[in-house]
Amino acid sequence: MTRYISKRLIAMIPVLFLVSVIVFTLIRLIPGDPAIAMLGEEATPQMIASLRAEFGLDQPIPVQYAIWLGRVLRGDLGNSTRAHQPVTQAITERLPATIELTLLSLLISLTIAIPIGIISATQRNSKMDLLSTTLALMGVSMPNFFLALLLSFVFSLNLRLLPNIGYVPITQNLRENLIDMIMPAITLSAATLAIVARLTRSSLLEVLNLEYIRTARAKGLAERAIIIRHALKNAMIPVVTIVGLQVGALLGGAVITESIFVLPGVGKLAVDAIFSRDFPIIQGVVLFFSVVFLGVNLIVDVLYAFLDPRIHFG
Amino acid sequence: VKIRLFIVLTIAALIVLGCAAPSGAPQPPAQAPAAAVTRGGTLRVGLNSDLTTMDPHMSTAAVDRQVYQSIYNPLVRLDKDLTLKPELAEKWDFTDPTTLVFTLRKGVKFHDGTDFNAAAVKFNFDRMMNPDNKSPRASEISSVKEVTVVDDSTIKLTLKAPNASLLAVLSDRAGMIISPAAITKFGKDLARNPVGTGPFKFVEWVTGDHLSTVKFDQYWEKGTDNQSLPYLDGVTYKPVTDASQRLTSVKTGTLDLIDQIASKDYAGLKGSKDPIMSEVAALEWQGLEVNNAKPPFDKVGARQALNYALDRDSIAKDVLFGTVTPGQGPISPSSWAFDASINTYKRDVTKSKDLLTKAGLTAPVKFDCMIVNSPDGLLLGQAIKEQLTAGGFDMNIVQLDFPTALAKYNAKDYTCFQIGWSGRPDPDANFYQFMHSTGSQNTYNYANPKVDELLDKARATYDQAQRKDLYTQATKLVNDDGGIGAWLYWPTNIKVWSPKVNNFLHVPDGMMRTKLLWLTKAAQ
Repeated sequence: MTRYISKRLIAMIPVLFLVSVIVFTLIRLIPGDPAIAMLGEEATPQMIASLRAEFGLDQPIPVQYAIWLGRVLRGDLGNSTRAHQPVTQAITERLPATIELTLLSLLISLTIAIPIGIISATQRNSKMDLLSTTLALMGVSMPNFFLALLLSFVFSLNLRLLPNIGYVPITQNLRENLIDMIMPAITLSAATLAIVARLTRSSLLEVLNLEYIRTARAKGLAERAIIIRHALKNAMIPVVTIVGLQVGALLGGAVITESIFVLPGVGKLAVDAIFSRDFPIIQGVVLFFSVVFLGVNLIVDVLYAFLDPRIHFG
Repeated sequence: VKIRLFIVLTIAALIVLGCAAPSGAPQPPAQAPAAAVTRGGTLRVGLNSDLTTMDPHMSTAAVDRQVYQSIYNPLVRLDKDLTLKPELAEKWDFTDPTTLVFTLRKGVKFHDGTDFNAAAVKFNFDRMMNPDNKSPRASEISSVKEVTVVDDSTIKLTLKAPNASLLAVLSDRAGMIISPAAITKFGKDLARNPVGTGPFKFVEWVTGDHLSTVKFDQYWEKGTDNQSLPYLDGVTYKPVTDASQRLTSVKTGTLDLIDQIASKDYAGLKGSKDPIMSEVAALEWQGLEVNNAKPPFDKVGARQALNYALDRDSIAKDVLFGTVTPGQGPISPSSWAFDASINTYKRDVTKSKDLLTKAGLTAPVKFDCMIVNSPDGLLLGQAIKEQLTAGGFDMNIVQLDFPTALAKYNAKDYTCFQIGWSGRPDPDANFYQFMHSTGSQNTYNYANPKVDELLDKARATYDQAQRKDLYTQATKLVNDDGGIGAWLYWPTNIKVWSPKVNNFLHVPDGMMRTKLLWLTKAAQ
């Protein structure tokens, strides 16, 4: 197992290298100069030139990349060009909000999606099944920015129950933190909830038709025990895979959700950085998201072994 | 399936909304005029953009200036009518046209305990003027040759040439005095560690989330209750870039005071008691700007035709919902130098077509125009395109993001661009740099010796009435030439606040001055 994990970790290096090259090149292809984006309408050519020199933007792109990579390997992601702050500090400062948002949405989606999936699988074609299918379709189809505005319109503007924006760190006040987090977490969880519910349903249906389930039934086991102890564990393998991949989608969704609810997370950091052409921040955030995504998928692969003892890693 | 889903969604939404909307709910009674000021409470302010730096000598973003109103004091203060009032300087005097002497206020302290005096002012000017520091303020005070300390509370500015616009510049960032001790201690990190003399001290800045300040106990100015200002315990600034979310926040009580709204929300807020909307003519102008060196606008006839083809009233009313005043000049109605007689063009599409023919052009006259790809920008671009089509043009909208378009514009690599200028209190700063042939922002390749002469003269004249007359003459000349292309309108500055906020001084520069604000007690 240790060998497998270290092999996977080594394999991450070329992936991350490629990601860094692609991001570095792509953001430099977006029209718009960070110096001009920063200086705005007040800029004089001299000011632009001196700021470009300060950011190292007057160098050829390969040279800029080499300098940046050298620093990254030493753990220095550079400085934000807009907010005069080290990139690592900008990311770590905003990590708590994003981690909390992602975990909360994952929690909401799984606690609702799996029971829904089980119920629709066991009561196939019932009214319950139809309802959950409809809800799932809505969840997948509704873009999260629309859901966010809808929730905020109803619960903030009309009912005045929840704040439309705001963030209190969890360490400062748990209650207020959760109040601020309800709408963002629900918004972000909708799509994942729907996908996981659908997948649990189909995966469980498939397993329930297998011979060992028939054997279990023939043995006279209670239906409840069959589903929870025998069928669900096997049905969970594709679900776990999807949940792993969904972490990527959640991080992507966090970009929009955080922007709408003005949560100081890594996603909003990325959006603001793109608008102000803050290259060091964009590079840092994308690299960071890539590491998280690769890490989560590694964990998912390792989890397979626990769910299905027949899977071995060598 | 899609249609069914849509119906289900719509019905669901309607049910939810139907249950939710408390329409016709009684409005809270209008607030009675308060007899006495109440102290305390923290004001929560919504900004329209993220902050960039807390160092006024280095800032190039308008949003930063909002926070400076709390942390710093300028030498002179801008009043509602754009006249200048004493602030850190008790009085000033032009002893001759190139010598400006300030008498500074005594007993003022910086937040770090150091004394404010003439040496501190000189230290600040030297920092801005030192070319190594690359301060954007350097060009604003480029008329200053030397700064001399006369005594502890007197400072003398020697100018290279007479400059009537300098004093107004010192009501903004160039006149805000930073603690010399803090400059020495923090260097570049002053960007995140501001120390001024203002009514509030900096506490913390979590980028993209908030910046908080707390009352400075040793502030020099006294309130109506004869105790030190400010009335508030603190001010917290929160960037909320989405205009709808910003407005919702002040409606629901998450924020107390916000900057700028979407023009579509204007009508709904007019006359509202909760929240309260305040509007004042801003300093800003917007235009459809053209390059005088590129066809078809290398011909004066084409530039004049542009002015006749535009329907500025319709733009103000139909596209921007009345949040602007149609206009044809660089000096807005908020200024003492404003003269309504500059509005010389009336829409006349026949005249527009005639002018094009006389200029040797055949309709439709094609050209590319850069439009910033924001929803509001595109709406405006579409309306302009339609109006110009009737006047014999064929405008092709080139959608670009702001930094890209600005780069092309600065490089004079453009034919037409819809852009404007945020405006400054003194007319010189809204006119000279754009329309003078040597102006640093003259991206139009416009040159008219008569305009140059008038602008030079206006800069060197200290008499306000004479200056007003010179600017009116210059504007009319530029309009006859279609020098900028076409000026379109002057925006209105809009602020929205909760009824518990009192004593807001709405100055046309749009800055939210916090020292005199107070919150109604029950609301704290």
